[in-house]
Amino acid sequence: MSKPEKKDIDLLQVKGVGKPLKRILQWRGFHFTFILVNLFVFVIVLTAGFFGNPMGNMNFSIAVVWILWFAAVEFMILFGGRTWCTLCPLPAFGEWTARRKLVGVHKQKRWLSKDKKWPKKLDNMWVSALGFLGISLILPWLVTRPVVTGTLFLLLIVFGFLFALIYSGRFFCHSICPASSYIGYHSNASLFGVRARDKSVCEKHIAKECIRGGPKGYGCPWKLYPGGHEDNTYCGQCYECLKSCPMDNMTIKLRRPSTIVRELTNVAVKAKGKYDEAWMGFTRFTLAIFYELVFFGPYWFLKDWGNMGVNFGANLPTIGLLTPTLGGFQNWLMWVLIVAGVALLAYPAAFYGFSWLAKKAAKDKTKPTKQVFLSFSYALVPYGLFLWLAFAITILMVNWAYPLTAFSDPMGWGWDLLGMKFAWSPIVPDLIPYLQAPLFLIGLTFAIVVTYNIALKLFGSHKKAVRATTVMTVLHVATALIFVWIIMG
Amino acid sequence: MGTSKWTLVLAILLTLSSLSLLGSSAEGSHERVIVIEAKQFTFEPSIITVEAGEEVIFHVWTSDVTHGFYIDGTDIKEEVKPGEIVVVGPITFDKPGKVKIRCSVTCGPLHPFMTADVVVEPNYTFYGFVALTLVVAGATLVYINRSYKKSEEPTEE
Repeated sequence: MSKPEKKDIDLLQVKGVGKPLKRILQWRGFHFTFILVNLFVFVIVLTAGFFGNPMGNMNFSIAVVWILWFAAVEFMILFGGRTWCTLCPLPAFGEWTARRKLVGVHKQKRWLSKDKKWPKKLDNMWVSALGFLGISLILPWLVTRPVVTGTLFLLLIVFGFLFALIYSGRFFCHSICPASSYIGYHSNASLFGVRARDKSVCEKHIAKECIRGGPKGYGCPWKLYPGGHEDNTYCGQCYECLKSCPMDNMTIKLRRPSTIVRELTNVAVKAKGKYDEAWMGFTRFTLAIFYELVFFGPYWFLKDWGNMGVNFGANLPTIGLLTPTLGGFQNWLMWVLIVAGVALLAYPAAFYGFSWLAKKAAKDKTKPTKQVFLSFSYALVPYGLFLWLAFAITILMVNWAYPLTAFSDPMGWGWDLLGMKFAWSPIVPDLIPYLQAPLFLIGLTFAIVVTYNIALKLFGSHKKAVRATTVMTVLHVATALIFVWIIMG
Repeated sequence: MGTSKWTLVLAILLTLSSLSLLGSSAEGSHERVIVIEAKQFTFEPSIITVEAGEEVIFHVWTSDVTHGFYIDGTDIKEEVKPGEIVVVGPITFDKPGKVKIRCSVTCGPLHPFMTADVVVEPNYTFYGFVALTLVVAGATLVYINRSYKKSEEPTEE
């Protein structure tokens, strides 16, 4: 007899926490309040980005966004899924304008949005994944030059606004935003999940306010059926379903690791034709390792290639300083070749090769290699996330002083508004690899376990699954050893 | 022009000082002198290999702007201005492994990423991490195998 499966924790039924949390999430002002606070922060980001100190680490837009926010988002994914999407102010202008309402519920007939249907071809994360890769091509500029960061966020706000006026709902977040897709992709390894308490209740309930909307909440802005949620990829955690559900059947589940593995396995096995998600995984996974090498490794030429050989910081008045030399531009093409080559071609090709070998080792003739390849790629959901957490640890431990100081001196003009000026001094920097090790080892373990579970479902036999998993483990260990070499070798 | 003149003078001075220190090393001291050039946004050499227990003196100079010289796990945090040679040490790297040198003075946009590695040989820590990775992967495979034997066959979907 197998042991009875332990249930996940229904967070909204936890004594002392559940009721107040539910009240907060069902209060329509909750979303608005958090977004308003974040909007204020983004106004500072834009102002400092365009007009603050050109030196990134002394400017709020760089120090807070690319040290604190970036690292916080990675940890949020693990503990809170798409919590950042709950708080994100970027689509807010568009949503408020489209709905013609800041807080309350407005009937869709009265919306300003043209309410066009989402293009089917874009109903995936291709644009978003390629956007993330595109950002990576200019990353050394993005994370060090305030004007580049300011421009990116301004563009995201403008696009978010325009898309909201054309398409109803969160099409921009669903398919365009470069951060949204990777947050959603890795949220499948999160402890957090918005789920129906009892799916049969949702199935029997005909009105389906979670889709159509009701007097207390809008229909899912991400165009999902919340009552049938089995994964986190596109749930933006806006909690409209929690507000609109008259059956009190929607909740937040704290998922056990076994649930995470099971649900992720189901996503992986059903993933037919989802190459967008596979390539999102490859891009994120390879770049976590590559960035550790570039930004904290000793190979200056890599930094210089990505930086186009430009030694100046830049805000809007000094944007001309970013003009690269011809040599710098040529070097940058090498960077593009490496980043795009590794993320889009080399690693996926290696992954495909190993998937083919795994299928051979399993002696399976029923499943096409491309299905094995696609399904196995979901092992990178937890593995990639934990590698990014390891990278985030380095960023935080070494550079914590910059964002904290930036709160006191957002423009980098020598102010000390909050009495928080910290001298740069890393926190136990010699112990960083020892903090990174458990993270990437957890990621590796998860990757192996998920691969096995996927293989078990694909091939239907334990022996076949173990043989296939062993082959894929060779690849996962090899990449782990590259990471070990970067941090300790 | 000014910078290149300074570079030439400094290079000569550093060569002479290194030779004199090498001479003293040969007389019995085990201190090793390593000359490091700091420049936007790296240290040259950027990978330094030393033996565990070896005493090292760094002669640090800059070929462009003011930089910082910080060694992880130590109290060393020096400012290196153009036209100066900053002598750091002697430092004994006791623990095998990798130690980072970082720039501690904002020197340009990529300053937070200006690093160099000191690899203290024999790098047991690296070998240990490699072994640990292999053990974790192997143990996970063994665990999967054993835990399956204890459970039932999964039902096919």
